[in-house]
Amino acid sequence: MEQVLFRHNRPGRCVTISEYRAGGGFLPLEKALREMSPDQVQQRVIDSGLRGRGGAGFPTGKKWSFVPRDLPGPRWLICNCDEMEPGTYKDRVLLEANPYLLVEGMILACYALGVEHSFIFIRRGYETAATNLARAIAEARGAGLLGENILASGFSCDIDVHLSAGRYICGEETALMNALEGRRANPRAKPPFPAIKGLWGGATVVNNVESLANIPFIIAEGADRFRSLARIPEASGMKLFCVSGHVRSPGCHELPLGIPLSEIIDDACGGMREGSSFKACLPGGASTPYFTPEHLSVPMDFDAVARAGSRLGTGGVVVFDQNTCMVRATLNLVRFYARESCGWCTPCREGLPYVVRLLEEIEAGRGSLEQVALLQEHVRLLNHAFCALAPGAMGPVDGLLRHFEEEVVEHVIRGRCPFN
Amino acid sequence: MPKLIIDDIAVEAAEGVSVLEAAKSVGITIPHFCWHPALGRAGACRVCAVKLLDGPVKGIQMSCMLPAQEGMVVSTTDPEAVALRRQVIEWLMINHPHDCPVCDEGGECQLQDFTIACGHGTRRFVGPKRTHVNQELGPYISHEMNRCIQCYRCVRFYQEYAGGSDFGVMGSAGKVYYGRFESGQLESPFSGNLVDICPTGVFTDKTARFRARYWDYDMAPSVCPGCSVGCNITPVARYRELLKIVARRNDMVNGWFICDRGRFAPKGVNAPSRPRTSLVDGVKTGREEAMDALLRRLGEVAELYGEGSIAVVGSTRLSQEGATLLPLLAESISAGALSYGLSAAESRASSGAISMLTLENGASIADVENADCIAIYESDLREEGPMLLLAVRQAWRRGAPVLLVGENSPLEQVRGVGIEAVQLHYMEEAPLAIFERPVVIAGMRHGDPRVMAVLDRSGARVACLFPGPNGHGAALLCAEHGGIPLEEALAKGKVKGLVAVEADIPAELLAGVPFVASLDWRETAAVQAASVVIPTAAWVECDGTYVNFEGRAQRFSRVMKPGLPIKELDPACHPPRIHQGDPPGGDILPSWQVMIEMIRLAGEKVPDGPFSGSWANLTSLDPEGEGEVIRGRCRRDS
Amino acid sequence: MRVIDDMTAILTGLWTTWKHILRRPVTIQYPEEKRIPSPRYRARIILTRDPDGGERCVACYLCSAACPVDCISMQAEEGEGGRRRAAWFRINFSRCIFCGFCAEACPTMAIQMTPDYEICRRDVMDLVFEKEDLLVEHCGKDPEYNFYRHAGIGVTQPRGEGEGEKPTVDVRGLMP
Repeated sequence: MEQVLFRHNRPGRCVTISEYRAGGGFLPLEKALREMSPDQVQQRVIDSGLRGRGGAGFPTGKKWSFVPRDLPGPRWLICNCDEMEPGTYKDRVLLEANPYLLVEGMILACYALGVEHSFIFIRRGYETAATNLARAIAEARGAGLLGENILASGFSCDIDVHLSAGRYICGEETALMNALEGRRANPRAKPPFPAIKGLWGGATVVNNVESLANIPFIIAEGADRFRSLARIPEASGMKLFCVSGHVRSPGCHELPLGIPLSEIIDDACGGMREGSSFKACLPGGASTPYFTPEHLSVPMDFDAVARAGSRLGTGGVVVFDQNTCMVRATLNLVRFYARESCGWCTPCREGLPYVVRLLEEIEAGRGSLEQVALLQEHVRLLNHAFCALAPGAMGPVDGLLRHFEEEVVEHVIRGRCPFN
Repeated sequence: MPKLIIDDIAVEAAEGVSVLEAAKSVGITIPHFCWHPALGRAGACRVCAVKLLDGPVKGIQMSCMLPAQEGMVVSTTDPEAVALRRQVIEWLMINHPHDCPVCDEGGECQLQDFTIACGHGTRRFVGPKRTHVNQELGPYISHEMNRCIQCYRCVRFYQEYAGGSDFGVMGSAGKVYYGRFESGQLESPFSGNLVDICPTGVFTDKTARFRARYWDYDMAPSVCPGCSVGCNITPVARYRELLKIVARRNDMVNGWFICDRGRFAPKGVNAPSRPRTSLVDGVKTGREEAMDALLRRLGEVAELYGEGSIAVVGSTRLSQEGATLLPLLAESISAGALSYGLSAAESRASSGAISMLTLENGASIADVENADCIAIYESDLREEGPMLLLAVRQAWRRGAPVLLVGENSPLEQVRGVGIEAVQLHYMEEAPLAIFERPVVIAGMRHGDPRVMAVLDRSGARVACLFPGPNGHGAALLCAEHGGIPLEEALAKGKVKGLVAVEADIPAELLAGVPFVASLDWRETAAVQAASVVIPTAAWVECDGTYVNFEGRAQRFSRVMKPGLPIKELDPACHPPRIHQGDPPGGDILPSWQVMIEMIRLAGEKVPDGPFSGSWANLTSLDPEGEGEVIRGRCRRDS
Repeated sequence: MRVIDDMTAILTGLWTTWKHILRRPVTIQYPEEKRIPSPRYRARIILTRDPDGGERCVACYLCSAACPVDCISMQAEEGEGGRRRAAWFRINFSRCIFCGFCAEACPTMAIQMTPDYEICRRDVMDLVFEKEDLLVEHCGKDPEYNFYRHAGIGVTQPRGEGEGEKPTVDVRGLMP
């Protein structure tokens, strides 16, 4: 299968810059600087239909277009490599195999946006990826592909790698900007949107690693070709699906968007492991509602998954087999979010521990039907938090109550977990 | 001016206000914690939820974060909004301790009020509460972190508004903690405002710990006598004892806050050593007898030493009522010298200031906050007017440069509010002409009086920091009636009889005066040296007027009746078990009433009231209003 | 006939009267015999102690606020160990209407009403009871409740070790 992001991968090691350039790397950059204007680059990205790969799925080109061309003051591009969504590890795999795609994608994005200084905000635990990126940036600078007057085009930009000192909430774009500025990593209110007033008050665009890494291919091969890679007409491009859980060979695979869930599990990952049958999965990381066997044929694309009642998110597929207690799985997930709350707003700081408590009571067999109803109310009310952490945290709870209500009620009626 | 509908009421909101403020303007109080009129919005507590039924925005929104827009239809009573507010309170109550009965905030607690307003009742959460260890933040503020609802008001005030850096927020999620990064006393001179802004009992006034409840307080609108800024305050009294001071809002003077000196410094009102009965040569008598004795002795002094041997001295803490009557009293007893207690330097500076100030060129605190350049001339604002530092900081936050002129303007004063300032030697060096709204804050203790001419020409608005709460009023009267500096009045040895009305005179100056009479409520050197003492009412025990630094006359009202605090009556601190009509130690009149009595006893024409003639427009001042600006009256009259 | 009707009326009345002659009277010969009211009878007010022997009253002023006739007054102070207690506490029983609002309002079960109604005095000032007259040595109607065990301010047990409390937060710790 044709690969966009993994095409330069070498088995067991990181690709070198010469291998990357030999495979066509940095040619899109040359083409853009010589033949295209920033507006043309931006338009091509818009036409490609590339949607943000960080979880929200917002069209990348459209996000870029929110920065007014005539807005005075410095502009910034931030690559969000603070990959902390449970079940998601695609950015690490990509950067450990090929950091040059991101570097090239970022330079192209800087060119399109008029940015002179950009940042890669990378989580503290990704040491190998950070080392790779630092090396890639130094090599690019040495080759005249980054820094002053890139390829004698008159365009200059630079990239800084910043290691995060914080936790999960730093992955939220406005909290990320606060963290970069050296403040407490609480999210900011929107409006004003980062495209108008972001990092240090200037226009800012925050994109995910995978989104930026797709840009070189789009520039080189064109928007239509990128679109055509997807399995269904309304989708465009490929996606890194990082599968984990009870499958035979979990791993990160680059597959076309719109591929049915069953194909991901059966073809790419060898099916369920011995003795396991598919019970449920998280289609896009821990903050998405569950998919059940009735959703195995759903095309894995942003809109199709949304129509089926969940979210594609980051594409981190976590598969559960028939021996998994869904209440315990949900409890595990919500415990993570309750710990990672930044503490700014009441629903997340106090409401998530309340949900944890309710799930603990139900799992221990001390629950009541009123508590189940209370859980349902929390799914509704936690939408009104300051940022998207709390609503995301309730994704699995929403899935639990929609698809596994009998299991929950069984906990209550039996007075214990049926899977013990 | 967007027009919107809130709960079926048509509202025309001011430009740029939030839906919460628009609702407040028509009397609808939406429960809130993190929003504060001076600190702005935060969006942290999520209690102010309303439902937008129609208009440019729809659905559940936080009313403090949403600017009011044309055509909005807002419902605060929609069941979804009510359910969300009730749930938010339930979430806050998960960790809130069960200590209302022992918490000082009870009865004046925003959390209590809004919990009832949102309809939360029985606890249904099954689980433990998180607890915290408290810090010792000093002798003034008590810290109880269990009660915190994480509204972030304290850190927003302390760091953003007041520029402090030793206090802040630590931790994340449910472990968020507000405290000092290192143990010790809070450093900001405005830390006391944490007591006012905290919506629960995390920060309470330690000096009034466990004293009384809000519904029992005796309160009245008053003015702080600490300095010439004249911040509006509400003193709180109970059982004839002054318990604490709470800030009162005045948008033209102090905004929403006051400084720690005004809030916590001992006021002397409860001091056991206060003069409470009239004394003649140390023997307790009634007031009538004391006044008779006083006039008689003064007559003897005049006979012995001739005309002009009597001096009448007031002070800048004497209310304007007393200050206007002082020249009349002096005349009635044929005094040769009239003084308002100013030093020679203060006198020169004050008279220069009042000749320079007009209605147009005087700066109020609101002018300081909106300035685009500020120069502080020969002044340490920490001493002469702390609240001006806070106003300077707000201007600095908006980009105004701050210049410190002269060697008596220390850099530390602005460092304490987080400002970087430029230091200059002379007022002429300040480039005020290039700014549109420059303000100069001039100290009155040091500095060259000729600088007043420079300031007059500079086109800047000027704030002159007169000494004392009524320094400006005293200076105006000095000019009107020829008052002289204190040392000039007493140093020559000519004065043989002295009447000190609420005056602070150093003991050395009193040593050479054979007869001293003192009308005061504090035990000053003059009271100790006096042969005749007549007690007067303290500032919380009577109505009065202070004219602040910008010439704003403000009325303060009586908070409590004079009398010995109940604590002083019995060694066991018990109230007495006897019936008594008047409170013991309560036969005390305000100084101006005593002066009118003396004028009558001296046989002179008694004025109708404290304010007569050209001062009559101050007779009916509203204590809850914004005061009346009277600066420049001497320039107008001349 | 009228006569018979009138006779019947008189005889019915006489019969009712005679019926009661042989019945036991309800009069109790007070003070030789005394009626014992039920424990919920509202008479003399007491300030009780908690099961650990400390005073329950935290001088929160709720009873004085609730009192419809303003007969309760007090002054709070800080005692040892951070306890809040009443420096003095006074109930004017000549004003008290024994409504029980104070006992209802009390959050610590301190102020309670007893069935002791025999509190007559000759001098009205003797009806003003001070704290010494009101404080008793027992727990009154609630033998178990100690407010400080639930208040979380570290009086009866260290902070964070009470029932229903998590251990205190370590602000400097980095673990979640």
